[in-house]
Order: sequence, then structure tokens, then C-alpha cells
Amino acid sequence: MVKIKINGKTFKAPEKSTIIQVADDNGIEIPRFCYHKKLSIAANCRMCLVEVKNFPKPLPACATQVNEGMEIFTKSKQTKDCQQSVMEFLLINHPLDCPICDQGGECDLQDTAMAYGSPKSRYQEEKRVVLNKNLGPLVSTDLNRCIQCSRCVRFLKEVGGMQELGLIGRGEHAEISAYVEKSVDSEISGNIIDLCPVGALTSKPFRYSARTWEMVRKSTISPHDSLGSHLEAHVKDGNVMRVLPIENEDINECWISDRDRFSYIGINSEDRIKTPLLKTGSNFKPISWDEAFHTLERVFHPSLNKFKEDEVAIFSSNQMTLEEAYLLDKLASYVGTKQVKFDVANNPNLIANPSLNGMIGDVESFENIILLGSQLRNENPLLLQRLRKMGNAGKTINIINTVDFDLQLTVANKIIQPIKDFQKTFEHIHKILSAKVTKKENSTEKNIANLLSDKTLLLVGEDIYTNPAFMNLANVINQLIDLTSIKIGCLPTGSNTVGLQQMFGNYVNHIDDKKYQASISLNLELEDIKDKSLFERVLKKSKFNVGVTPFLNKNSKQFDLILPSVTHFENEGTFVNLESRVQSFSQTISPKFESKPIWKILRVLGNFIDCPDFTFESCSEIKEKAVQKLSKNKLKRFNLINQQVKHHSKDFWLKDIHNSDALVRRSTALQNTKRLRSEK
Amino acid sequence: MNLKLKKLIDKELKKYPSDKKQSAVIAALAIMQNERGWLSKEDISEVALYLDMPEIAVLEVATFYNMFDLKSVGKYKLSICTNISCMLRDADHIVNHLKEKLQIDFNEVTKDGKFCLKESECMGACGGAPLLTVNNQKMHENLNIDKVDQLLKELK
Amino acid sequence: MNDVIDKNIQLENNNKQLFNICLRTSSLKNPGSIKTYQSIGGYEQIKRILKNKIDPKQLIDEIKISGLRGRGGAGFPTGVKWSFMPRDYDGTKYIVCNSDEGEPGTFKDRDIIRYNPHQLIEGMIIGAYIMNAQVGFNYIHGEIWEDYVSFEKAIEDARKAGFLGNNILGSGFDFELHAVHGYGAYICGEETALIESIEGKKGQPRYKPPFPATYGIYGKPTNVNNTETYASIPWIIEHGGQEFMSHGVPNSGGTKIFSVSGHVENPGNYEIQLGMPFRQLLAEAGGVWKNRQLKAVIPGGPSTPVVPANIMMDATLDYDGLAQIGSSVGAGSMIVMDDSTCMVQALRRLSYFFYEESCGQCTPCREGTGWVYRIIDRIFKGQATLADLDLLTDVSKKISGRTICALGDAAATPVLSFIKHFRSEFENFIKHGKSLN
Repeated sequence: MVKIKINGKTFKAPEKSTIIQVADDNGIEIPRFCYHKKLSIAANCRMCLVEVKNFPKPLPACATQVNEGMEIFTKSKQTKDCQQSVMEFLLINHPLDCPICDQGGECDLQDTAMAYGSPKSRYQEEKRVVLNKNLGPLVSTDLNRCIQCSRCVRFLKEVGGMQELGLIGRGEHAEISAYVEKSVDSEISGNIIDLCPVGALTSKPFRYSARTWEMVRKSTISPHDSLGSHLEAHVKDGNVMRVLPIENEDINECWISDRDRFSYIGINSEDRIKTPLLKTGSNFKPISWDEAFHTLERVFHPSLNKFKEDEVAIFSSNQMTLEEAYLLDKLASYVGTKQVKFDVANNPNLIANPSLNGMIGDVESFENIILLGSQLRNENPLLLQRLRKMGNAGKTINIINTVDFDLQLTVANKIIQPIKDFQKTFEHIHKILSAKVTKKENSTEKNIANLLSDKTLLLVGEDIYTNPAFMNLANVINQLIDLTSIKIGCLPTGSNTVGLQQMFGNYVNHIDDKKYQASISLNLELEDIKDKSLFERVLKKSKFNVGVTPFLNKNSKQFDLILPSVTHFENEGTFVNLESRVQSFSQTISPKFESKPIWKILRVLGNFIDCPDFTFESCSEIKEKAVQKLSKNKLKRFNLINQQVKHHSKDFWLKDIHNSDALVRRSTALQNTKRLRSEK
Repeated sequence: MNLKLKKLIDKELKKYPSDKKQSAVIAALAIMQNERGWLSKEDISEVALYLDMPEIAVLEVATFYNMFDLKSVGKYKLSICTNISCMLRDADHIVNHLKEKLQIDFNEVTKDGKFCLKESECMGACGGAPLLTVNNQKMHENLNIDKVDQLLKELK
Repeated sequence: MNDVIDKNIQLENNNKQLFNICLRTSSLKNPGSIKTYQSIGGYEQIKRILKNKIDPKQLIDEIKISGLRGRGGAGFPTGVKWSFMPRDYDGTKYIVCNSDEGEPGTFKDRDIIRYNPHQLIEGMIIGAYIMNAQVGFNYIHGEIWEDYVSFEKAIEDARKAGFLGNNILGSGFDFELHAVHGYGAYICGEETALIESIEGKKGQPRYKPPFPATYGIYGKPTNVNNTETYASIPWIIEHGGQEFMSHGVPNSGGTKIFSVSGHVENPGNYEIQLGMPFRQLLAEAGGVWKNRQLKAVIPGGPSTPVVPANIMMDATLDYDGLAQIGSSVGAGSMIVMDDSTCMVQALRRLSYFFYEESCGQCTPCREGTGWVYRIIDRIFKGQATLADLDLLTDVSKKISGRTICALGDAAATPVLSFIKHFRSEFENFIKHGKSLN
């Protein structure tokens, strides 16, 4: 620690911290534009210049490290003169279009100009004109407003992993641009909207639709991946107008993915189902909820229809909340089908507790990461961003995969091979380490073997730990764990995969290719299912198919009864994220049309079929019961579930990040992006 | 990219560590421009691919260094310095003479596609002021009207 | 009165001459060839150093004694700078020769490169030996393309002769040298911008600290020195620091090339013993051309303040002498202006230069240089008011000292010094819409 003085007051600060960090930590305001705590230091805007005793020139607070005895003045004449002059320079070429600028009311430039600028302009010359660029369907440009702080350029390069924007030209003519006619395609590109301190980069879908002060802010948890990012929906007139991140250093830091940010657009899709629908012949007719429940009563009331153990197939998405799952489980055993056949994507879990097995932030404390078969860019772009950060910091990221994905990070070692060969690779590594191989070798396996220690984290992707080949592979890895003390973790993909797993153990029993009496599909579409043909065959054979979904979709016609459920933003409930963190969220807007949250549908259905102990008054009451069923255990080794795997489809299933669930699929803006569809 | 270009760029790459191919980007672009007259979008993409760089990073470089041309400059680009040492020795007369004779202004190409006139900053040869370069390579110093006329005749 | 007499006595007693150290082959036949250089004892110093494994510390001491200061403009003592390079660093270290001279009026490095390249190469090899660097680059201004090509040949000749590469002269010492070129960006003369450029990026200066000696090319320790600085080294090692020092005056050891351009009869490079009176150099350059009178001189390049004739005529050319008259040696880029020169037009051109060459990275320079140029342009076009002169001064002061690199200061310097010394000329121009010359 060093002692410094700011404005005459003494502060203790960690060595090597910068003036701006110390000021921020102690609530002392220093204006800034280019500085951002998560990005490299550019020191280019000069707004944070401060007077420092014994230095003839003012110093940038963002780039200057504190020294013992340093005396800093943030309000002195020299500092104020610097602030005022930099403000004046920034404004000479900035248009006076605040009244028509989306950033108005939440603009760093506007706020800083009010606080530090001069009320009148001395600039008489013509202002610079910069042509706007089309960066794609998400980010809108007004480059006349750009103050060249380069935050967007640095973000895409450092956090996004690929320099998609640059400052081209030089001097006064420097301007933000993508490469000729290219768009910005990063799956986390929307963050540059938040980073832009002016109105140069704004949200294209949100453009001109609301002012910041007109909206009510409602927090929720992201349903789109297992990270559990904290989101804030901005609501006006009962509609979500935009979604922004809520900063949470432990989870999403200050970022969110594009699907977190723009999925809300799907809420008002034309596919929304307005009332319950009953199949009559080849058509559907709208019915009332009362009629719908009576129909369900006739199928599921135990006094009318007692099912045997395995006669109802339940297909659910891994976004199902704990509350929904709890009620569903209770109802299922009441109607007599006992063992619920949930099926997320026809991927049977082979191991207990496929969670990260630690906290998200802890991942960064390892020296080496081995990524075993994952599509992180499609599955969990913000977790990937943390790995990227590690790579930038000189730690090694190693990849063993079936497909050569470009994860846009620095990879130390890479092995691409069919999944059947994974076992051989790990056996080879084990042999190298147990000194069974004597001859000198120069191989990638050797390189990886040398990295294995308790500072190494092996992360297994969902594609792998749900593949039958993992049964034997896990045994080899367990031996390696014993030998080298490496740590392990899994990368589940659904927002509540871990919650459902912890509630039911090996909850995902795959659906057999056989005749069921009835099926229920909850918030699931054909695109979400790996074995599409199996799903279609089961529905074809089953006598009565219920679809609970907000949207009409490709397989709707296979249902006998369709119940309109809500989208995530109209729902409340609880998810358990990949690090086993239990996170509840409430409604951000009221349900659209006559749609209902699934927990309410199940609750009413329970009453219709006289299910006992089914008197829950609120979602939180259900949560209390549900969380009691969660079992958490940390794994040192893979705990294999001894089950016979009957079938599996192809090894690999490419997940398109913007086709990951029904809501994302209906966000027109996301659908217009260039997506990561193929391998490198 | 043909073999000749690759060879020339490879020669530049040898100056840097093998994992620092980006270092050769200015040289590679200069080689490309020298071969093709100016840098098209495709040329920049080719360089990016060859040096394993994001295209935008190559474009940043190509637009930062002002001897690169991202538009056609005709057969002969005449870059004439008008900075102070040249100005003091009447570069303006040479400029006016060239503009009149070629019937073009700065940054324009003659109708026959032969000449382009560029105003240049200091070339670091002010002892020979006024001066100009042809296609970034050949410098002509101590210019006067006669010398300029002679030069234009020689550039066929 | 006594002061004036003293000054005159001092000037008359001065016995400084032209003396070629960096340009010592220039009068010989085929000056740039390795043969010519070796005929005057070239490469003997590096041979002697390697053969006797002379302690680098001893060599640094010699350079410190010589009083050699960075000839690129900053004037930082070279021996001290070289001692900043970490000797025990466990990886590649780089040395860079900065031949990216693009400041208007500067053309001395070009003559070293084309007339005496091997002295520069030997200087760099000695530098590499002293700083224990394995790789060197000479970054050459892209506009002097023919000289870049000839320097590549010189490197090749030195390599063939065994002075570059692995195990030089059987000593076990390795050093590889490469020529690289800029392509039209003045800012790359700034050492950290130059490093960025070598890394294949836009030439945007880095914020310092860290300095190149700890974080240079690819983050490795790097020394950057000017061409003339490196080219002085073999002579210093050959003749001793004291001998070099004695060619100059205290605090300004040795010789320095002044590039004289503008309104003189014989523009060109003149390597002088530091401390020579300006009037003597002016005479060497043939005096003011066309029998006109001297109006003003920019002694060290546009980033050094302009000096009116009456003050300049009594000045001596050394670091202290020029500091005394409120200017600086800079890179020795002497721009001479006769009495026909319109100072508004001259300043307008210089301001355009800084506006055009600003890298655009930091706000005061990116926005300020354009603003400054536009105000001067309005004065030149007769559209300004007297208040604009104060605005011009104020804006320039607000650029100066607030930017990442010195280009901001450099852009402000001509504005402030031109208005300081020639304010009435600017006022006249504003009132009458034209120069009164």
C-alpha cells in the first residue's frame, strides 16, 4: 500500500493502482471518456488530466500509477483549465443534435459538458462530417457524434477477440469503421452500445422509440445460457423497449450477450398464441382457458385415466424454472406416471451434477484451461470472454474438440479428432505422465501433459458429457485426476440445466421410441431438439399431445391442445446457473393476450384434477418447497451414473447462438445477423 | 497473389519473428501498391489473409500512412512537396505550372489516365527544394519549370 | 552596451569550423561504399572491441565523456540513455535507428544513409554490443525510397563482410540489422509511434511510462536513437570522448549537422563544431539568397521557436546558445527566411503540416490542430478579426503539454513564437487583408 493525497486528503492505495482507480474507489469524481475499467488504457481523450505536485504537465489519471507521497489535485485551477479545454475541443466537432439523439439524457458527453464545460463556444469554423456505416442489424451509427475514444475498437479486439472495428484515417479525419461493407458479427457486439460514451453507437432496434426517463427498470435473469446474467428490462406502456446489463462482477461483469440484449424483440412476434387452441379435424379452434382445463381434466384426471409408470412423455426445455419443474413432477406422480420422462434435447446425462463445480470468477484463477469439446461461442459467449482474458494475460488455453471452432482466443495447444479418439488421447497423456512412455516425444499430447496440475482446469462441454463415449473417457480422466490433481468442471448450456439436475438427479431420461398414452411439450420447438425425428415419431404415436408454448411453430399441428404460455420477460421463477447459484426473477411485463406463466397453468391444472397439497398462492411459495429438493455436491472426480444408454444420434450438433430458443428465434434483429453457423 | 509478390513479401517477413507477421504489413502493402498501382479492397484483403491479420487492421494502416493510395492514381503519381522549405523556394510556381499543364487539380487524374498530382508533406530532402517524387520512388530535386517540362516528356 | 561588446568579442574569438565526423566520407569518391569506409579506418572499432572484449561499461563512460546528445531533437545524453537498457534481460533486446526524418527542413539523416551508411552500421553494431541487443532496425523515411534501397545494399555488404549476423568476426557476438521503411507519416519519427509502426500498426505514440527501454518492440527492451547519434559513435570510440567533446563547447560536445534550407544561396548539410556563430554558418551556406536581408530563422525545425534576424545574428549554434535566445537546436533543421517572406503564409503552411500529420489519437491535438489551421487560414483569407489572434494563442496553449506525445507541443510552438515576434505583421494582415511586404 502507498499513501497519497487527493485534494489534501490522505488515502491508502494498493501499489501500481492508477490515480483514477484510487479516485473511483474513494468516490472522488474524475471525468473520463476513453477509460473503461475492463479495457486496456488508451489515455487518448485527455479528459481525466489532473494536476500532480512536482510535475510540470498535467497527467492522465487513467494511465498514471500512484507513488508514495503523490499529491493530486482534481479541482485545482490547472486541472479545471485542462477539463474545460478538453471539453471545448471535444465539442467543436460534435453536432448540436441532442434533441434528436437517442443518447440524450444518458449521455456521458452531455453530462460532462454540463459539469465541466464552458457554456459558450468559441468555434466558428465548419464542423466535421462523417458518413455513417452499416454495422449490421443491431448497432446503429451516427458518426458525426463520435469522439474517437476507441472504446468500441478496444472492446471488440480485447473482449470480443476479433478486431471488427477500427479507427481508419488519421488526425481529424480518423473515423470508426468496419472493413469495407462488413458488419460487426461478434455475439457480444451489443456491448459497444453501452460502452459508447456518446450517441455515435446506439441500439438499432430501440432507435427513436423511447427516452430514458420514460421507462421503468425491471430486473431479470437471462434465460438464454447457463451463466445467469443479470438483465434490466426497460419497460414503457407494458412493453419491453430494450434490455441492458446489470453489472455483476461475479457473473456477467458489465457485459451481456447479443441474445440477452435483443431477444425481447421476439415477445411481440406475430407467432404469439392469443388463446388456448383445440384441434378439431385438421384445424384449431380458439377455446377458453376453462374449456382447455376441462379437456386436460378428461385426459389426466386419475379417476378417468390411470397411467402406468412410463406412459406419459414430457418434453421440456432446459429453461424450465425450478417452480415449474416442481409442480410438473408433483403432477406427474399424481397422475400415475411416476418417473417423469423429461427430455431436453435427447441428451442423456451420464454423470452426476454436470455443473461448473466452482464459481465463475474462480475459473480465472487457474493457470491452464483444457476445453474438452465445447462450442462456447454458441453456448456461453461471456464465459468464453473470461477465457479470452486469461489468454491475453498469458495463461494457456488448450482445446480438444471434434470440430475446429474459431473461439477467437489465443490457443496454446489444440487437438481436433473424432470423439471416439478422445479416450486414446487421454490414455496417451496418462502414459506420458506415469512414465510408461520412455522415448522422447514432441507432441501436442506431451505439451498438454506437461500442463496438468492443480492449477489446471478441465472443462467438459455438454456435447461430450452427454455422449455415450464419455462413459469410458470419464474413467481415464478420473485416473488423470488422481495422478495430477487437475480440477474438473462441466459446461451445461441451459439457464436451468443445473437446477433441474440438482432437483431430480439424473432427471433427463431419454424418451424411448415407443407409443405413449400422452405427451406434454413445454416451451420447446423442433429446432431445440437434437433428435427431431424421434420427437416427431413419439408425437405421431401418442394418443394425446399437449403443447404449452407462447408461439405457433413448425410442430404445432402435431398437438391436440395448445396452451399459450408466456415468454421469459412475462414470467417469474428461479434458475440455478452453471456455478449452482440460485437466482430468482420476477415479471418485467404482464402476460400478453391470454397467455399464462407455466407455473400458473400447472397450478390450475392441479386443482382441476384434484391433486392434493396443491394450494400454492405464489411463485415464491413454490420456490420455498422447490429449493429444498436441490442437492449440491462438489465433485473431485466424475461420478458416473450407471445407466444403459440405449441410443444416441450424431456425435455433434452445431448450436447456432441465435437459434437457441423460441424467443431468440423470433427476434427479427438477431435473425438478421450473420451468425456463427460453421466451423473454421 | 502471384509468386513474385509472395517472394517479395516473404523477404520482408524474414526481418521479424515468425509470430509477428503483422510487422511486415507496411512493406507488404507498399509491394502490393507498387505492383498494382493502387490498393483496392481486394488487395487489402489479400494482404490481410497473407499476414493473418484482421482486414480492418490492414485498412487502418493503409489509411494512416499517406503514401498509400486507395483510389487509382493513374500511371504516374507526382507527389510534390509544398511544405515550408519548398514553399520558400517557390514550390507554388511548380505546382501551378503542373496544374495548368496537366489540366488537373491536386488528387485528380488526367483524362488520359497518365498523371495524378498529389500535394505532399515534407519528404526530408529540403536541401533539394523544390522537389517531387514519381510513384513514391524516384525523387526529382531542385526543380524549375524547364526540368518539370523535361520530366513530363520523359514519362511516357 | 558592455554585453554587446562582450558578445562581439566572443563571436570574433570563436574558432569553430565545419568538421565532418558523421559525413566524413562525403568528399571521397564513391562515399557510400564499404570499401571507402574501410579505407578511412571503418569497422576497425568494432573489430577492436570484439577482439579485446572491451567492457561495455567502459564504452558507455567514453560516450558519456564525449557529451554526445540525442541528435533527433530531444538532446538527451546518449551515454545515459544507453545505460537505461537492462543488461541482464533474458530475451531479445532491440535497438532502433530513427531515420524517419520528416520535420520540415530536416534532411541530414538522408545524407548519412546515402554517403556514409557504414559508419551508421558500425555505430549500431557497437550500440548493440554495448546494450547487448540481438536485433536492430533502421527505420527510414518512406519518401526517400532510393536511399532506403541503397541502405539495404549497404547492410548486405556489411553482412557479406562478416560484420552482421551470427558470431560476428568469430567473437560469439550475434547481431542482425534490418532496414525498414515508413510510408508517409511524420508522427512515426516519435520513438513510440515508430515502435508501433515496426509492429505493423498505425503510428500512434504510446503513453509513457513505460519507456521503450523497458517496454519497446513487442514489449521487449528497446533503444531508439537518431541516425546522426549512432553515426557519431565509431568516431567517438576511435578518438575518445574527450576529443569529440573538444570539437564542441561545454554541454554541447562534438559536431552537429545543420540542414540549412530556405532562402540561402547554397542549401545543404553543414556539419559544424557546436558553438559556431550563426552568422558563420550563414556565410558558409552562401548567405541570404538574391542579396536580400535576413528576416527570421527557425533554427532547429518547426517544433523549435522562430527567431527574428537581429537576435539570430548574434547567436551561437549549440544547446545553450540557442536556449539563451528562446529557441533550441532541435534536429538542426535550419530554415532561413528572407525579408520577402510573409510570416502569415509561412505559419499557415506549418500549421497545415501539423494538422495534416496529427495522428488523431488524443483530443487536444486531433481537434486543436485543425482549429488552429482554420483560424490562420481565415487570417490569410482576410476573414479574421484581431480577437482571433488571442483565440489562436489561447487554443495553441491548450494543446501544448496536454497530449500523449510532443506533436501537440510542436504544433503550438510556431504559432506562439510567430505571433510573439511578428504580431504586428499578423495584425496588419488582418486589417488590410494582405501582407505588407
